[in-house]
Amino acid sequence: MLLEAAETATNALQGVVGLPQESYRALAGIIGNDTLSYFAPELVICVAMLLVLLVDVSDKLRSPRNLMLVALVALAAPALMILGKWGGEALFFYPAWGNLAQYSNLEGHISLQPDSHMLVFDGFANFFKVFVLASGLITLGMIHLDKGTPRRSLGEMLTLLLGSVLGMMLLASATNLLMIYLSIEFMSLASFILVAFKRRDRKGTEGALKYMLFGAVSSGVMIYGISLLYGMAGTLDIALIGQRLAQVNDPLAIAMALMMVTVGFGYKMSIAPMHFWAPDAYEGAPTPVTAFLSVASKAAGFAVFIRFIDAMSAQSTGNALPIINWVSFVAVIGAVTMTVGNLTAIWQPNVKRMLAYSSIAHAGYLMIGAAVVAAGGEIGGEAGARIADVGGSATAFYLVAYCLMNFGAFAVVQVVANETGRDDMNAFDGLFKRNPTLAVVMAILLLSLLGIPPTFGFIGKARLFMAGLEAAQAGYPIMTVLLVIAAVNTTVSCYYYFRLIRGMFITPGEAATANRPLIVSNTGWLMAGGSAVLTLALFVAGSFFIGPADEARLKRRPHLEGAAMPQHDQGHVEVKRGDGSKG
Amino acid sequence: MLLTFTIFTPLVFALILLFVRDIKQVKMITLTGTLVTFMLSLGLILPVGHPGSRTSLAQECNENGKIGTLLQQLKTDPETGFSTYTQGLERDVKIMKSVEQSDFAHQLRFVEFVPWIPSFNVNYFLAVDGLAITMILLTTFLCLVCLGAAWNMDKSLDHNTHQPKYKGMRAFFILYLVLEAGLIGVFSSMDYFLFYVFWEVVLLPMYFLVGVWGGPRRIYAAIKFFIYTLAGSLLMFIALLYYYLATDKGQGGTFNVVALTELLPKHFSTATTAGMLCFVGLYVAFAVKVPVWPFHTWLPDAHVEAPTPISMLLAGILLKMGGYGLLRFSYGFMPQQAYDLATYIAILGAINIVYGAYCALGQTDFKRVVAYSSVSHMGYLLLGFAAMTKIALDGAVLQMINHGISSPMMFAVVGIIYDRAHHRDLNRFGGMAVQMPKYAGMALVAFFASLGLPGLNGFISEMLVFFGAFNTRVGEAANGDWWLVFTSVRFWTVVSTVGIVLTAAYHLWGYQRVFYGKMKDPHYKEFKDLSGTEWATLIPLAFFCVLLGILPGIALKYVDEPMRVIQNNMIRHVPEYARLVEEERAEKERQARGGAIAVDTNLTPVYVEGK
Repeated sequence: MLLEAAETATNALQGVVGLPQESYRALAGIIGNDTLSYFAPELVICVAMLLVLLVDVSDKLRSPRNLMLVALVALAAPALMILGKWGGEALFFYPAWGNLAQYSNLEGHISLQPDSHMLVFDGFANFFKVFVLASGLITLGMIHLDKGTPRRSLGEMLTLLLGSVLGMMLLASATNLLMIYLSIEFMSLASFILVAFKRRDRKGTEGALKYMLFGAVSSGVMIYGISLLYGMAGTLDIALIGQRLAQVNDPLAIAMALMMVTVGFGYKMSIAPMHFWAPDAYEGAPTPVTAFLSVASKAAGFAVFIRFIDAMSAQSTGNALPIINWVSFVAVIGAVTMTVGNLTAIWQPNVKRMLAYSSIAHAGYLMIGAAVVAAGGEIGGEAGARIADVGGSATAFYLVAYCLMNFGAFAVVQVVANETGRDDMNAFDGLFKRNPTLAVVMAILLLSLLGIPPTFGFIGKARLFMAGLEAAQAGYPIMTVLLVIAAVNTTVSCYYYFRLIRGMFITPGEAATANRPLIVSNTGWLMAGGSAVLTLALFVAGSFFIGPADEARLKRRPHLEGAAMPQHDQGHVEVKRGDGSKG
Repeated sequence: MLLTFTIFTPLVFALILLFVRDIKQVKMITLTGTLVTFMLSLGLILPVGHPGSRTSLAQECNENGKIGTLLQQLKTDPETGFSTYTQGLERDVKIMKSVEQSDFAHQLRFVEFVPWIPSFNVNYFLAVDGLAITMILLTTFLCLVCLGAAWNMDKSLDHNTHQPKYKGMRAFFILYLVLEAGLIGVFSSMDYFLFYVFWEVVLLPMYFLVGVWGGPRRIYAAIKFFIYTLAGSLLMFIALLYYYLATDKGQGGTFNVVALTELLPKHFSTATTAGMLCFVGLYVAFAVKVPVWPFHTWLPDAHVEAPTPISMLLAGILLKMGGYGLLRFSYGFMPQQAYDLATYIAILGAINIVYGAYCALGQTDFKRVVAYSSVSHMGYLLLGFAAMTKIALDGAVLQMINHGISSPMMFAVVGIIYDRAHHRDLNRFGGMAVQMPKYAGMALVAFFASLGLPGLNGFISEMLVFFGAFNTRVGEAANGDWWLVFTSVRFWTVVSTVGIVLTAAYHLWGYQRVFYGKMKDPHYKEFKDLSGTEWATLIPLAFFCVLLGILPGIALKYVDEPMRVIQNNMIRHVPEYARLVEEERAEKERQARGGAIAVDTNLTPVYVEGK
């Protein structure tokens, strides 16, 4: 029933945004294939971005309410389209693969060349797209809650938000290095401006500048890596690269190239040592933007990173690449990231900064999932693919929990900042006195971030750890070490989460405001209280998101026609190799 | 449903408290809540009530029983779609049904079984055996009694400012009830995942109870307690997930404790790194709670800073969670590893006994003395576990119960004097026996019960542990190098006896400094003797100190069967241990042929005539 509703809504919405099925098919016919229909959600957002700008310049229509409404539809409609479209058998995210084969001989890829593809619409991409869209929707609520953002520039903010979402959606389904690069740049440029949105705010400008500098450097490094990979493999399609690299005998150049590309992803995921921008940008940015970046941007980064690892490891080729030990590599940066994030978070006097470092630590935990994907890739074959899928779905599942608790925590920060105008730790002192429910809500969310029962964060962590142990059992003892490090880190993180809890419940507040009740708006309750209630409810209904997350599977192309290295390229490869090792 | 009711009654009363403001009503509601919970928990031992509730798990597992029916429903329901789950559950039920091998399933009562997270085979599975029953009864009893110590907390004034010392007592009682619910949940879960959930749920209220209503260093003590326990339990969590994957043979793993007790000993029958790591992970988690040296340092801080009723609960029940976990999980799941590491466990037990007592001797803070006495007393647990004889195991569990009664009584005694004197410095007391004779009398019971005077409860359990541990041959080396004596559990038992002397010393010296001699402060002349609530707190505890000293059988009755099951499990899965037991039996028979008085494993003297 839910399914039908989603489908009806999809059809209706397609009508609303001016893309009725017929003209749609006609458009697709002009381009030459039907796969364009899979791109419709992204097109809706493109249209909506323009629509928001139009509404913003029209004197008649221009009002915060209208703008929000357009953005709401623009985010909800694509989500429903994705949910509805693949709803043939179940509500969530079934891979488009099977359906597509009926329409086109391109196996569901929008492509430029027959053997190299741009975008892929599999369960994995769909999951992350819906995730990003949902984060966007929650961010709208946060913007509504935020009293600090100037209302007259709301149109610009929403346009940028939609643009960022579009970039993330493209990133989630990109399977081509060029597409990946473009999507990363697209979402980054939008987020740079979002961070600096309060123009006169020094912290915001500083954060945005750091964010941009880091972004520029890491995309530079990344595109150098991409050029090396292109030089060696002669293609930009990551699946093809993975298969062709197996035939290139130059471990150093390949390792260099892959690490350089990883730098680009690492910057988006804010993993150490590419995390330095995060605390400043998070602290300076308006809180809704901070929350959005810390959840959606990170998720998009993980989506593409996992897809990349999966393509670059053995299972697509059947023979192991002797180039880079992804499992150890990912495990080590994961361990470093969580340790750096947690240890630094301890000293932060500002709650937003503390949550920024905590989000870095969470990126470290999520690396467990990525390492499992890498392990699955190295094992190869059916068993390897299964383990890789477990890793991917565990990451997806944890991200759902993380989204819920992180947005909730930032909503509480926003509520307190609305009242006190501050977001340092001391602003939370004595919160229990001023608004007991809000303090309890925040405590629940922090406990969920800490990952202990009875919260959803615990189930997420359990899933992640279980995936890690599965890889450990499959012959990767380093995963056990990583899990123990993660456990120790969780203990460390308990210190700073409890510092805030201690402030709220134990430390008496400042005398001037100690007994004044803190008023929370309805939106505030919806955002903060809603996430806390969901955090508890989803713990009791522990299996609720496991099914959908399991559907977040990568679609692999095991036997590609272009897998063999083109003969005439061999000479190139030799030359490039010389360049690569010099570089 | 009895167990569910017992767990959730405190929570329901906690919810009611959210809507009550008047502190008198709050206290009455809390009292009602704990009283109702206590009554419900008595249902676990009283031969009244619904006859069906006394069926064992084995009966529940029959096709017509609750779990069998559930299985049928899931099988015939195509809409559920959890095919792997049904397979996993079917496997679990099969294991639980094979009771001729596992008498563990046979003794479990009051079974409740509801699927929770089907894709991981996690179930809401509650059941109790004798061990759990004693622990639940101890919990509900102490939660009722400790309320006496909390009763007048809202009226007590700060010594310096003369303002009310404890604020927000409504929240205190809410957390108190949540804590009780968590504790009962810990002891009644037969699903390991569920156990872990309750285990962590206990932490949170405890953090706030110590952190908000504690002494001057309360924040440090609370976070230290939290971090120590969390670190341990996360290691346990990794081990727990490993168990799940280890039992996964294509139909999902299991968290079902009965199934795990059947499957894991086989999985861990050889000495592997994974097995050792799992044992150590679990051990650390439980050792922090027990607490075992060197993980014990949170205990003196937490005990000293916590308000009196919370110290009583900490010492009375929270420490027992560790002992319970060691027996149920470490020894149940990994008997081979437990046997291999018996020497180390015995050494740690000896360290706990001697070191704890030695530290207690050096303290000047009255409450610290009691805190370290807990460390010392908990050492007997480890010693008994390491010895692995039936008597020692019985003694160790009885020690858990006895310490759960005498140690809260000691804390109550400390709390009473602290309420009056506003300090706990042993060197500044004196002469209280004259000023407060009734109090001195009750304190005497507590001190001597804790010291282990014959006739009071502590003596019986310590005697049983020593008796069992002297007779064990676990850890003895086959060849005859002289230094190999250090590997035998028996040697470390001998070392532990030093602790008895030290224990007597710090108890008697402490008693002497508080109650005898000259009053060091004229101010003490104003002290009143015991009040009504103080009597209400001390009398039930003193009653059980005496009762269990005279009739330990009333507790041992429940402990006997679970310990036999644990020993049988050990015999079944550890060939070396089975050989030891067999040799011991043969030795007895040989002695008996000579017409000696033999003592069988059940502590019954048997006289067999010589041939």
